[in-house]
Amino acid sequence: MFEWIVQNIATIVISIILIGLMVLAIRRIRKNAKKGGCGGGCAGCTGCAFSQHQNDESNDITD
Amino acid sequence: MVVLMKTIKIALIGNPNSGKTTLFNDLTGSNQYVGNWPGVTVEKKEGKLRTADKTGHGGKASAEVIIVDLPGIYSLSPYSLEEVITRDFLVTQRPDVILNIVDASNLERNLYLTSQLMEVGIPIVVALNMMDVVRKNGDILDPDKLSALLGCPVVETSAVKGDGSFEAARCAVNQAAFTPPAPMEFEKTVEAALKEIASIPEVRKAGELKRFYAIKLFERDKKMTDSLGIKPASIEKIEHITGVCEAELEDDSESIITNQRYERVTKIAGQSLQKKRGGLTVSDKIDQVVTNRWLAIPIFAAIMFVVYYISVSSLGTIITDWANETLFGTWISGGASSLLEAAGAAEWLQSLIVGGLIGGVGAVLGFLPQMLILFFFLSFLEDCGYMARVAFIMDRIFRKFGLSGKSFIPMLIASGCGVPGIMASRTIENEKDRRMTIMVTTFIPCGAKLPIIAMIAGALFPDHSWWVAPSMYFFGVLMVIFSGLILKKTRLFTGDLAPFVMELPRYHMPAPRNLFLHIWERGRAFVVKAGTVIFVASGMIWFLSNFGWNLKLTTQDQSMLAGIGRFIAPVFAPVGFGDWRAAVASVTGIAAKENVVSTLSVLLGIADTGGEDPAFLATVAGMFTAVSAYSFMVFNMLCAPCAAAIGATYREMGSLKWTLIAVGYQTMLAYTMAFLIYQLGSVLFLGQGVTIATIAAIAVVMVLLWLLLRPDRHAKVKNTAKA
Repeated sequence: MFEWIVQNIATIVISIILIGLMVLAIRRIRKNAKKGGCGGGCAGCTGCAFSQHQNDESNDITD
Repeated sequence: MVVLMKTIKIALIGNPNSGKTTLFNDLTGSNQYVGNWPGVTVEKKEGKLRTADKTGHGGKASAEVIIVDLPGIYSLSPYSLEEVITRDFLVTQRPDVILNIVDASNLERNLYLTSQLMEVGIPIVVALNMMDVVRKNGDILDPDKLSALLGCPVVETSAVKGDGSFEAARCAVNQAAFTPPAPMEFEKTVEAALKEIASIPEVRKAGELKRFYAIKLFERDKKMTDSLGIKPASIEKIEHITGVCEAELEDDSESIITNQRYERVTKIAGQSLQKKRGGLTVSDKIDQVVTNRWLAIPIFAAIMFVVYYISVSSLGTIITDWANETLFGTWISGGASSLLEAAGAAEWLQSLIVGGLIGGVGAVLGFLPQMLILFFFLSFLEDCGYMARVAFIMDRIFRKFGLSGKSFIPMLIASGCGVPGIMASRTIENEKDRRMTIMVTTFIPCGAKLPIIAMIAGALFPDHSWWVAPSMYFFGVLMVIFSGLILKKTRLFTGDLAPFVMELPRYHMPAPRNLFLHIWERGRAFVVKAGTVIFVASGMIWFLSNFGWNLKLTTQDQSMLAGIGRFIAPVFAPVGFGDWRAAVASVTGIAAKENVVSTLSVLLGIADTGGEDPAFLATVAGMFTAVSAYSFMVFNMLCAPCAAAIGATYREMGSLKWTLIAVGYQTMLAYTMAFLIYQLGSVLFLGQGVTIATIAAIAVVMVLLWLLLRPDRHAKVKNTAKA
């Protein structure tokens, strides 16, 4: 077992890093989806998680 | 130590396109979208005033100052959604002070709103914006005199240059402690009527809003009557008071107020502003050409052609080629391969990272330079004021086809991203028009679709990419018109068109900061999306295309994805891309349109290249004929948009049924157009023989022609009813 780990250490470490990156990416996607989601980077859109809005949904008084 | 004092809320209020959002960005350090056309801000935005140092007065800035950016309005009458939002905010939220942004080059019209703001019982500071334009015109405006006439402080600002912004904010903070200015007075008869209305118990209890309500009730503003809960007896009394006044002044109450307001405002403007000359301004002269009845459309077409040509076919290609071949092809992919090999990583892991993740993400990022160039041009056209003219030009055309120019504003925004484009449809009051606009807005190619256009244009039309890329934009506009024509004749969308009134902003050289912000925002989001959605999707596509149903590594042909792809591919065979890889790519585009390119990159095993690498393009070229490639491109342009845009459609439609109708219509239209292009194109351009499918395509053309040309049954009914 120990030998197998030593032989595959690079694969294991890189796989763990990749899984971590995947988890982070999925978390970001979920966060964005909850805010409404957007891909165009238009800061005028309150649904965009990527824009630097200082407001949240509660600011929308059109509802 | 900073001691927190009372929070002061400053409301930025002004006419559309007077520079509120630019000022807001300057004061708060935010980067809200600024466009040089009216109606960009459709909802309230809040931000904190930047640090104390910026105001230069530490004491005052220790109070927390909130800046609220509100939609641009012309009056406090409830004629539009923007006016309702702003008015409700003033009445219910009661900011501490109003910073009224006044376009000094359009003083009279802007002061008309000021005269109404003076009635809501909130201190006001007037920010005289665009004074540079006044000076350039040779006019002389005396801010001190204006301040004396209005009875409130007046501060000069230049929102674009950032001059005077913080002085205006500081002045507003100070003014919050003072009493509101005295409202403008009307003629004696009107004043007497207003006094009588204000004495009605329901109005009297409105406190500092008493005069505002009295005027609104005099104008027969139904929303105000409802919100105050006026009793029937009081309504009768108000009606009587108003009627007597109307009879005496021989006009309706709303016109009486409007006219007297304008008289007063004209007097103030006349006393504080000295106009140098009349005649045509530079903007007027440019407009004589670009909005000319015959030249407007050819000029617009030529401009968009040049924009797409430079972005996708000439300059964009040169930069993208470098990014793909050198950056992604050699440096990143090559470097990663060497590193992984040297580290002793397993072969499957190397394949996943280089072929799956770098291949997929790199294929999309490879198109970033082209996208940035496109956004630079589009932002420039927006900011300089040309795109507002396009809405005006398109109104003339759209109106004939069942849409108004107001529908074109969301489409302009959608050329960046469909989500804000769909959201911008909120300003369309007519529900049927709004729904139709939402349904057709995403036909205009957004930034995420650019990689698909660039990929197909580069792979299948290397010598004709100069017209292929721009043709997609015009095809989108054509489909909007086509949809307007056929949908407006259906029961769901029939109805009179709302009038389109829009003030054309002056042309000006865009502020480099705004241009940079537009490009930066869009570029950043594109990169972040590549690092999240495309990254995850590429990993999944790699997994599904390398593992079989038994979860063991296998060849691509035996993989799970091949199984799924072969199952759905027959659906796409009639439209020319029955290859399972193309079918899968189209389906993955639902998550994000960039996925179409990244999926093809992973599936075609282009491990170490970017999107426009010759090897990648050659493999793509092998999958399609010129006709099927064009059909593939059209299908992916028009079909159901990405998940985020579908979500926005659901929110704006407020109904699952309408969302399904929208997505269903978009996909059906995309399939129909792709079918016609492939079937008829193959016969006409590739010399293929006539088949049953060709006859079916001809039948579809006949049906579409019937839908286009059939008389509007509902219009007849309406006209009869009117007669």
